[in-house]
Amino acid sequence: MRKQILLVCSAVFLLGTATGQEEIKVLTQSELDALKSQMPLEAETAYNEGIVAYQSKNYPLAVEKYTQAINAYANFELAYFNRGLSHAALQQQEQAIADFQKANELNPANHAALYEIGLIYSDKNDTENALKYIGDAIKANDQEVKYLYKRSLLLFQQKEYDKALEDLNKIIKIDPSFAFAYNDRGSIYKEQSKLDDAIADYKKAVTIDKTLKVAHNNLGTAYRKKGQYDLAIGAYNAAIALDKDFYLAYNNRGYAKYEKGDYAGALADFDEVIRMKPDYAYAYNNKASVYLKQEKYNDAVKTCDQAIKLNPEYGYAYYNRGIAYEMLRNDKQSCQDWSKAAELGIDAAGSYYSNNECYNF
Amino acid sequence: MKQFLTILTAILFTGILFAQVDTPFDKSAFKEDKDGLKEAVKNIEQGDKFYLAQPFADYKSALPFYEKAYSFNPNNAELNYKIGMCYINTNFRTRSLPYFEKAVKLNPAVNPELKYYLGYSYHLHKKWDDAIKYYNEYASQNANVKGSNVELLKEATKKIAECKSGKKLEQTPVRVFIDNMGANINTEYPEYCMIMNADGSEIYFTSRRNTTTGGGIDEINGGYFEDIFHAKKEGNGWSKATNLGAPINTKGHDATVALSPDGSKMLVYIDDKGDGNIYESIRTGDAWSKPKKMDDIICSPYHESSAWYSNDGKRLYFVSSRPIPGSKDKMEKDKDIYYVTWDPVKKKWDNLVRLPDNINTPYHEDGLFIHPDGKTIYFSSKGHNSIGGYDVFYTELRPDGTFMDPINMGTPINTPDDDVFFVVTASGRYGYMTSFREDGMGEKDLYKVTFLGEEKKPMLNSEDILLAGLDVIIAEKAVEPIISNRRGELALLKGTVYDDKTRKPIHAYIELIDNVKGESLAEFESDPVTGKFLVSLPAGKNYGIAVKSDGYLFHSENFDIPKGADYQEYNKDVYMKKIEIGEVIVLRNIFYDLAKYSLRPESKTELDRLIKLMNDNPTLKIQISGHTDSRGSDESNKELSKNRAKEVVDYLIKAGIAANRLTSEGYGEEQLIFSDADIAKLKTTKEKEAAHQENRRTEFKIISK
Repeated sequence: MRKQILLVCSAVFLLGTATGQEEIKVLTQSELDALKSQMPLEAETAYNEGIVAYQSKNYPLAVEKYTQAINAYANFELAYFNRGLSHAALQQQEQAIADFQKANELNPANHAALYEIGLIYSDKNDTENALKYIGDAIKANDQEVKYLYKRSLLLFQQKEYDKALEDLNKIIKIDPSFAFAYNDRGSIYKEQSKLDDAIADYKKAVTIDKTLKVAHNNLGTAYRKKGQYDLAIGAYNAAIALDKDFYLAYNNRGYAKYEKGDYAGALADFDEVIRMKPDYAYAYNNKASVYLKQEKYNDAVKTCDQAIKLNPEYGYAYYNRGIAYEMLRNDKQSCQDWSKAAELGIDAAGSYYSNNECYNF
Repeated sequence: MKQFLTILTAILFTGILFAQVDTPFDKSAFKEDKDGLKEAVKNIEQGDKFYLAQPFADYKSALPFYEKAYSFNPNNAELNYKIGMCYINTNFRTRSLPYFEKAVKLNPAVNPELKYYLGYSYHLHKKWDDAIKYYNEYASQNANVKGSNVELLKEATKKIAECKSGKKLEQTPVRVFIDNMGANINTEYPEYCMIMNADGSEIYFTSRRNTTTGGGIDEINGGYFEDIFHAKKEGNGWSKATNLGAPINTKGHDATVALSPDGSKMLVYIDDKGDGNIYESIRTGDAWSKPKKMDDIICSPYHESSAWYSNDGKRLYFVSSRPIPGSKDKMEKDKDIYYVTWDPVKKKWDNLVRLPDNINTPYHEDGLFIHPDGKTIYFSSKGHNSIGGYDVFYTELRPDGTFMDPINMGTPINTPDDDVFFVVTASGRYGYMTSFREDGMGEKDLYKVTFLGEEKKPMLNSEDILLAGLDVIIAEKAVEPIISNRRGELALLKGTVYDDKTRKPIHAYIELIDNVKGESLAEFESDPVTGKFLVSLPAGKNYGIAVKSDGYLFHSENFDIPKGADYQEYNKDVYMKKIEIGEVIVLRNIFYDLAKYSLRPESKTELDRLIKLMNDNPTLKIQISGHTDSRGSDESNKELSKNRAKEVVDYLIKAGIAANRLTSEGYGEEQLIFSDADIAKLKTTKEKEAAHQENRRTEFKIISK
């Protein structure tokens, strides 16, 4: 539930963070007094009823009450803002944007309204507008961690890593105990192949917040990419210890064991993933990779078959099955698989197709 | 219990001692079977006649007699040694081991050379340490002994080095499958020395089977005379091999040596009463000409046994046992590799060069094969780091004309026995070799070697939740392995040249040009009967290809084959157009800077060809047109193509072609060869890009003549 503005108390505080916990902003006594002096009582009454309705998740009633408040007092900025939140909760995005824009128009210092518009555009996958409005909110208040963090997430997804890095660096400066920022910065470094920096940040994230399972997992992946398989396995173990159902960490641990040459251990992990998530095609492909290393080519074919059944457009599974068929002396089938894999964007498969004279089959 | 073990050990020990007694063929040992002894002695005497025959021992004939004697008395050291010697001198060399082992147990001094041969037998079994041990024992026991076999002592030293090589190379075997080529090719008789064209679609080999021309038998070794046989690729197998017949095969020995990459020329070996020479036969359609002896610079009074054409046909590499050119010593020496260069003016081979000493060793080199990649030379040698007998090696001709130090092809291709006649398809995927294997079809057979290359790395996938504040799973992009195909860095261009109107095959010249250097690299011809051609394009060049035939407009193609490119085969039939109004020719070797209209220097050769056409046909008027692909705006494409066509016209005018003979037009994307819909149907990015490339072109059209 998004943050509402209450008219009932005198203290100013923020509850929750970008983790998505419920947030409530409370006006100061002087703000409250100034507001009350400008509007009729029925506007205040309807507004407060709107808040109660919102908190009880009765969003249609909340919309109705905030509308009553606006009807009673046309310049009621906070009523627009809160009605915008209610519309947003009802997925009425256009009405929500209109209300937030009105709130910002009535009070250009209401950067929260700009941020909320940014969030709605983000939900609509309109990243350009999301970045614009959140950027405007940051211009108005560049110390708001939540704004900076949201923007960093959007920028990361746009692969604009350097810009995302700027935001995360600012966040860490403002709040050095914000574990998420270290994790995400670590992920940027990982994507940029700066593995030592990534490892340092992931380690910092798990030092600040030992329960942050994604950071443990990401640390494991950074270690694996660096070829430090025992450390990788240790990090994945920590992630799994925090969440026994964290199938991604099992899959990744299996991958690290495979790289280490512990094929039995890798198979056990991939089997565990398949037990937890039988439709996870990656686990079958990875298991087939172990079979290839073990020269169990028939098993590799069968396991790739399962991966392909789950995802007929899974290029890596065709690629791997092609290898197995080659070793089984079935050139025709291996060539067909590499052809399909190449079609699905696996360049190495295209090379094998050409170099193995596959056009003869 | 202890007492029991002592007794048992004593019994066993006594037993072993008893079994190891060297038992002579005399009455004292066989008092109760005098008849059997008499028969055994007789068999030994019979065997000895063949074993000790002069000038050549006949081990194969001696063996049955010795084996009969052996069944009577298996514990005679000398007989075991002789049987071992018989086996080691036949195709079944490895069967010698138990006999030599037994001989050495019975009496290590039965023959001073026993330990050498025991070492050799271990060597053939790839028991490297045992072999080294016995070679060393032989050497140390005979080194300072008067009358010992000096040559064999030298050989022991060499073989110790071979064992060390074998031990080392066996630790990193080459990843290959080796398969017998099957009953369509191999028989119970010897098959060997397979040759093929560059794409491996046609093969020729030598066989001494009973269908040899005339059915004659060579009195020297008792086998049928050699003939050349031929087969074609059928799917993944081979057609039934047939005798190539006259004029190549005669009643005497006719053996394969080499085939040009396009299969239009064959080299054959003719014994010439022991001289040994190379002859050449030319193909027209399916008919081969009578083999003609090669120039004297190749065929010396010494022995020439192997040869091969370079991919551009400009060099001929061959093997000869002639004395080193320029040396005072006129004695025949070990076989070395030489090459000669084709002189197009004198129309003969010239400039004899002996390959340097990093290739030619003091031992024999033989069994040449020049790969169509233009740089790799496969050959066999008894020197270098051979693991025994002839091993197959490869070297590379560097751009500066030097040769890389040879690399042993490794095991299991090379064995401690002779490994010769190794050829590789253009792709590098398949090799073919001659081998005697006990599970073969009899005698030497032809085997197919499938190169698997570096171990193909499986690709795994992982996913992570990279962002702590966003529950989104992001897949890690798998890192693809870097694929290199060192054995097949080239492309083959093959097809048929036709008359565009009649659709009949025609003879044409195919000129290969290095567009960057503006140099003509080589010229090939299509077969006058079938119109077929095959050209190899080694990686690392931008090739312009001009197909020319009298009375026709030239046809151009372009192939950019960068270094490290995957192997490719392009099948491209060429339809030659006569000089007629309305005919359109695409100028595939005209290049512009990206999104600009200035001509790149690589275009010069093609433009010069066009200038020549205009000069040769002074009344010809042409329109130059530019075309783009469908990407970009219509307006910008039109403008670009217009400017590009005009740039060509300006070049021609500057070269002296009258402006009134030239017009230009830009069609932008109006006349696509491949529509967007066509391209959308293509499977891979590579294919789509090639289609866009076809659309981007400069053409000329004959307006009047």
